[in-house]
Amino acid sequence: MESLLKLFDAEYKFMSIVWEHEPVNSTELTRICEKELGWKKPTTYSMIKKLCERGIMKNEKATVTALIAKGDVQKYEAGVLIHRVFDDSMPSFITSFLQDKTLSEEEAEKIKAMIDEAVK
Amino acid sequence: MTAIFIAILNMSITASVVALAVILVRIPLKKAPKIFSYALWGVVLFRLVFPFSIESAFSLMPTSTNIIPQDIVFSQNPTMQTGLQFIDAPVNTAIFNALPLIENGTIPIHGIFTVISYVWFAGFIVLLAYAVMGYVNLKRRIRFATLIQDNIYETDNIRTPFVFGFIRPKIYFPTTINPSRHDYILKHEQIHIKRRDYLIKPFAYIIFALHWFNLLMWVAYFLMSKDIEMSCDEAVLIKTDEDIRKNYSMSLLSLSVKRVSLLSPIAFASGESNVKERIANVLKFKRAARRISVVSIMVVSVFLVGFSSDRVWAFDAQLGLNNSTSTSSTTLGLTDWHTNERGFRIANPEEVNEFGWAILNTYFSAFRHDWENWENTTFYLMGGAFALELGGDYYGTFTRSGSVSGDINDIDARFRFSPLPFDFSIDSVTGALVLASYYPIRQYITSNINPLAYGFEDIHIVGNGSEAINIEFRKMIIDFSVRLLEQSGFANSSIISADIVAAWANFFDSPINPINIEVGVSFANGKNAALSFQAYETQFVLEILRFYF
Repeated sequence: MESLLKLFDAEYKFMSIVWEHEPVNSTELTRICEKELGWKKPTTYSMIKKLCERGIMKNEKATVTALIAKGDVQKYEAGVLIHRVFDDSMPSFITSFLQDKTLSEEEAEKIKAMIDEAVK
Repeated sequence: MTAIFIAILNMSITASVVALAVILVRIPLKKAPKIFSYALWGVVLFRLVFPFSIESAFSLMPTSTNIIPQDIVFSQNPTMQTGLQFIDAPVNTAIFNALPLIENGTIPIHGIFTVISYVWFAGFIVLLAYAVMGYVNLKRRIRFATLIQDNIYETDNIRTPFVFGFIRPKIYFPTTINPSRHDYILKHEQIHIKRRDYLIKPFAYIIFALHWFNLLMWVAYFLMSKDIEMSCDEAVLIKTDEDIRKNYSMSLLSLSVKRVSLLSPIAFASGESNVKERIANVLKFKRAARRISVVSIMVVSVFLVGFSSDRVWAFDAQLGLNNSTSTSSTTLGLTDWHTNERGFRIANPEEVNEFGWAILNTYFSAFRHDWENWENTTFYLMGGAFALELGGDYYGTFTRSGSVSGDINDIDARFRFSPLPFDFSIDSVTGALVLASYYPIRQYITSNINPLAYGFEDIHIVGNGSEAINIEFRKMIIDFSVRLLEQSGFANSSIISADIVAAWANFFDSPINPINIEVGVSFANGKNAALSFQAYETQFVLEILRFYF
C-alpha cells in the first residue's frame, strides 16, 4: 500500500488532473495534459500505462478512473513528512507550521475542534 | 582508416600548439570578460576540424601543419617536418634509429600505423557511445517533466537546472528550485540557449573525442567548458541592472551539487571546484572598462588571424636583378642561390629562345622567391604574402615572336597577395585583366581543376637551354609534368614515382619526400594566356617550367 501512495512530482500532478476530471476519456486526458503539463500524447499514454500497472488507476474502454483517493495520498505524504522531518512529533510540526503565520479566530477554532476529535 | 588517423594526428599536433598559445594568452586576459577566452577556443576547434588552412604572412604558427606526411606508412625513411630544424633533425634521427632495417621491401611502420589507427577509432566509438548513453539516460529521466511556462519544465528527477535538446531546447528545473525565485539561474540557462551553447558543446565534445589520445585537448575542453560557464555568468550580470552578485553567488552555491550538464560526459567539466571558481568570478565582476575590452578585442583578433592561418613556408627577402640580354650572363644580386648551388644558373641565356626560364628559390631562412628571365630584363620578387613582378615585355615578348623591347610603356607590374588563391593583374599595355590561380599540389588535388577546361589544348613542354641542368634530371621533371597534365584530375599524389624520387635524392644527395614537393600551376587567360608548372621541395629548387602562348 505504501508504494502505491508514494507519488513522484509528475505523477502527483497527473493524478490531480485525473481526480479533477474522472472518469475521463483518455484522448480527452491527453488534450488536458498537453495544455497543463506540456506533455506530448505518447508521454501521457506511457504515464497512464505506468500508473495502471501499479494499480493506482485503471483504463477501461478508453476511460480513465483513479483507484486511490487524493486524501489518501495527502495523508500518506503528511505522515512521511512528520516522520522524517519532525521525528513523529506533532507539536514540533505544528510549532514550525505556525511560526510565520497568524491564524484567524475561526481557523483556530476549527483546528482546536480537530485536535479534540483526534484525542478521543 | 590510417589516412584519416594521420590527418587527425596532424590536426592534433597543430591544435596542441594553438591550445598552448590559448592557455598562455588566457593569463593576461584573466581580468577581461571571459567571452574573449571563449572566442579563443574557437581557433583550437577550427584547427581540430580543418586539416588545411589559409596561408598568410600574419601567421603566428611556429610550426608547419603537415608534420607527419600522409605517405609515412609507405615510407622507408619516415620523417616528420615541423618546419623547425632543431626539432626535426633529432626526432628524425631517432625515428631512423628506432626502426628495424628493411628486409624484403616490407615497411615496418605500415603495420604499426594500421594497428594504432584502429585503436584510435575504437576509442572514439567508446567515447561517442558514452555520450549517447548519457543522453538517452538523461532523456529518460526528464520524460515526465511538467510544464511551468514557455520552454521551462520541472521534474523531481534532477538536481540542477540545465538545458536539454538540440532542435527546440528546453530548460529543466528541479522541483526544489523555483525558477521565478531564482530568476538569474533562469537567465543563465536562457543565455546558453541564445548563444547556441547547447549545440556548440556537444559539437566540441565530438571533436575532442576524435582527439581523445591528446591529453592537452582534454585540458582544453575542460578550460573551454569553464570559460563558457563563466562568460555566461557574466552575461547574466551585465543584463541585470542592479547588483545581484551576492544573490547570484548564493544561487550558484545552492546548486553546487554535481552538475549534470548538456550531455553527461560534459558533467565532469563542472564539478564543485568549478562552482567555487565561478562564484569567485561572479563576486569580482566589474562591468568591463572600455579600455580592457578594446585591448582584449585586439589581443583576440591578433590571435584569431595569427593562429588560424599557416605560415607561408617560403622565405628570405632578396632583391635580384638579372640582365640576361648581356652575353656575359652577368647575374646581379643572385649570389645567394648561386653560391650555395641550390639554384640553377643559365649559362647561355641567349639560347633561351621564345621560352623564358624561371627559377624558384626556396630556403629555410625566409622568403620563397622566383627568379625569372624573359629575354629582357625582368625583375621578380616574390615572398611571403606578396609578390611584385616587374617585367619588361613580360608578356609581349612571348605572345608574339621576336620583338624585344625594353620600352618603359611595356612594363607590367603585378602585385600578388598570396592568401588569395587567385592572382589578379593588369597588363599595363592592353589594360587586360589577367587572372591566374596558384595552388600547391595538395589543394590542387582537392579543387580538382582540369587545365584542359581552361582552354589549353595543345601544350608543349620544353626545357630551357641551360647545360647546367642535369639532362636526365630535367627529362624526369618534364616526364613528371607531362604526367601531371595527363592526370588532370590528380586522383592521387603517387604520381611521383619511386624512381624519380630516388633520382631526386641522388641529384641533391639528400632524401626528398615526395609529399613535400609542391607543384604550382598557374593559368593566365586572355590575350596573354599562360600556363606554368612549378615544382619545388621545401628546401630545394627543383624546376619551373613556364609556357606562354
